[in-house]
Amino acid sequence: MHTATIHVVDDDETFRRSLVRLLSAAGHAVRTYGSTGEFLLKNTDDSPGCVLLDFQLPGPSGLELQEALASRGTRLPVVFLSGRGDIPVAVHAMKAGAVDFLTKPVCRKELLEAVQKALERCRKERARFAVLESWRERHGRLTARELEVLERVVAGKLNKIIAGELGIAERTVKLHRARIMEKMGARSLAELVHIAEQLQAASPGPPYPTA
Amino acid sequence: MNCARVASAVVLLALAGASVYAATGDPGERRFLAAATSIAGAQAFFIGALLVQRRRRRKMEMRLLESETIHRVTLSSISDAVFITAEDDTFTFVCPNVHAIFGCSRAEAERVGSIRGLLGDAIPDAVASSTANELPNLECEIADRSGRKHHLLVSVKRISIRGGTRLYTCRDITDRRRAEDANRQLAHVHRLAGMGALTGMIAHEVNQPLGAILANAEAAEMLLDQPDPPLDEIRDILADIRKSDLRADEAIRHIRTLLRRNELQISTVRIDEIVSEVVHLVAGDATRRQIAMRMDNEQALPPAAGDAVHLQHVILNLVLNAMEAMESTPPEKRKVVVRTRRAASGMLEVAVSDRGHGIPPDRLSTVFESFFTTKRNGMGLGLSIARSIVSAHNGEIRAENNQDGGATFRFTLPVADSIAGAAAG
Repeated sequence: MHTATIHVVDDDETFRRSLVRLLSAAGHAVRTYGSTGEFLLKNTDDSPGCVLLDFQLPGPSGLELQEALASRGTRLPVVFLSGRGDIPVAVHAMKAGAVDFLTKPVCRKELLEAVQKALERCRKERARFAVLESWRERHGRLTARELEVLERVVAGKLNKIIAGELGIAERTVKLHRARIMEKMGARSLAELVHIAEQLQAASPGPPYPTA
Repeated sequence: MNCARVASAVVLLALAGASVYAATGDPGERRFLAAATSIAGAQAFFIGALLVQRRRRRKMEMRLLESETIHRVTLSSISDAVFITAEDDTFTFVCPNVHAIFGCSRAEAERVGSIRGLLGDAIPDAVASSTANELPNLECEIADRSGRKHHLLVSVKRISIRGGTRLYTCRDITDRRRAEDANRQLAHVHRLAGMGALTGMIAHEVNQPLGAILANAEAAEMLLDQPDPPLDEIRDILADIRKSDLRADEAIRHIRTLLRRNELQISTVRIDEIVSEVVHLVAGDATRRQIAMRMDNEQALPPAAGDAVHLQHVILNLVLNAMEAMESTPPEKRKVVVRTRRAASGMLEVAVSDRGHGIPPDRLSTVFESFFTTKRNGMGLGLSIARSIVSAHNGEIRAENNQDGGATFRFTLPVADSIAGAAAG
């Protein structure tokens, strides 16, 4: 059940220890770090989990760590813990994608709920990412000709037009379409278009290799 | 005049008797005449003396009357209410102008009869029964006939002419007291305004241990619910809770000290230590605002004579101002330097420099006035409080613009031994 790791980043050792005890007692696996730098250095694997981040850290702040995590493509949701309720800062953190912004002292219920929410988000993100990955992998198996056909199908072009553009027989286009549907695991044209759009949205580079 | 004439007539009579005695030759008659003459002489002397005394008394009575008139006029022209009481506290004299304070006429006050009837319990038994000549002044609050409250300063003196006679002088200090209260309130608001930023920072210091205590306690509860609770671990938890509790207590005590409306408590303090405390306190804030904080303490500085808490407040105020002045300075240039050194005058000097927008030259002389501010959210009280604290330390504070941009605020403090020397001299 609890394969996820909770990463606690706080410069106060006593507080860190108290969180470890509480989270361990609730059955979570916990790792601790005294600074944002330590966390970035030590946490290199891509296992599921979430980060409990002290807001007032010496050196790079919690907000900066949140930004660094986002830019590294790490999908670890962040829950902020702050010693003083500072509304503008909390708004900023939430806008930047934090799961929650809690103020110390925080009670068990509130903390565990926030952790639960963060882990839930982590699971969903990972599931979404896994689907995307499989689509990407399937997409990679398409031949150059099939990619050309896919690009035109997604653009809403009729088989006859595609055949004319590529200088091939309409029957061949139909054959390619059937192969593409099969390879991408799409059961309908609508699904195929959806997958193509998701792939395009998720990939930073050009969506299709230029032929 | 008359009495003098009578006296001289008697004396003349006596002299006539004496000449008659000298003229007669009969010894018996001479004896009689001698006796009669001496009696008459004595009588004349006594009458004369009596007459002189009466004249003197008349003069004295006149003088007394005059003096009483002067006293009466004086008493009615001052605003204090004056009473003289006998041993049993009943009035033997009530000044004419009791109305302003007690809201009743002199006759009404006399009907009340005693000082306690007018002032009520404001006169403690200890004072009422004291036999000392000089008694300490009393302060009390009374409501006059119309219900208006008056704050009175009552001075009590025993008059030595008769055993228990006392002079009570009641002065209405309501306005003075009100002004003092207002001043005190204002001063407190000043301090709180300056302290706002500080308490925000200390909130972190308190919430950190409180957070640890709560998490530890809840973890212990969960551990105790297990079938075989790990007692060693729970013991560690309790030790941590105690430690955090002490830490929170210390932080709260710190805030209390800062907020208390206490007078300066001058002792020997190390100014560079106070500076590092402040720098440590704002370090987190400075990092967030991308400001480099530097300390430059001269080696082997002598200790200063000052109140550590108040001085910390002054330095904190200057540092926070410096940080806020650099909001529009590019991050790589943002820097606050706090220097401590021994100035040429022999006093210790603390200087806080920033690289911010500086102070408009025409404002350099007014920055320390109350309600002067360049900040959008500022009340403009921080620097005026800083100045009052520094002046209370016999130091001076001034502001100047740096040649390469930004401003420097510097203040001086006396060296600890110089205070001791001044006190001895």
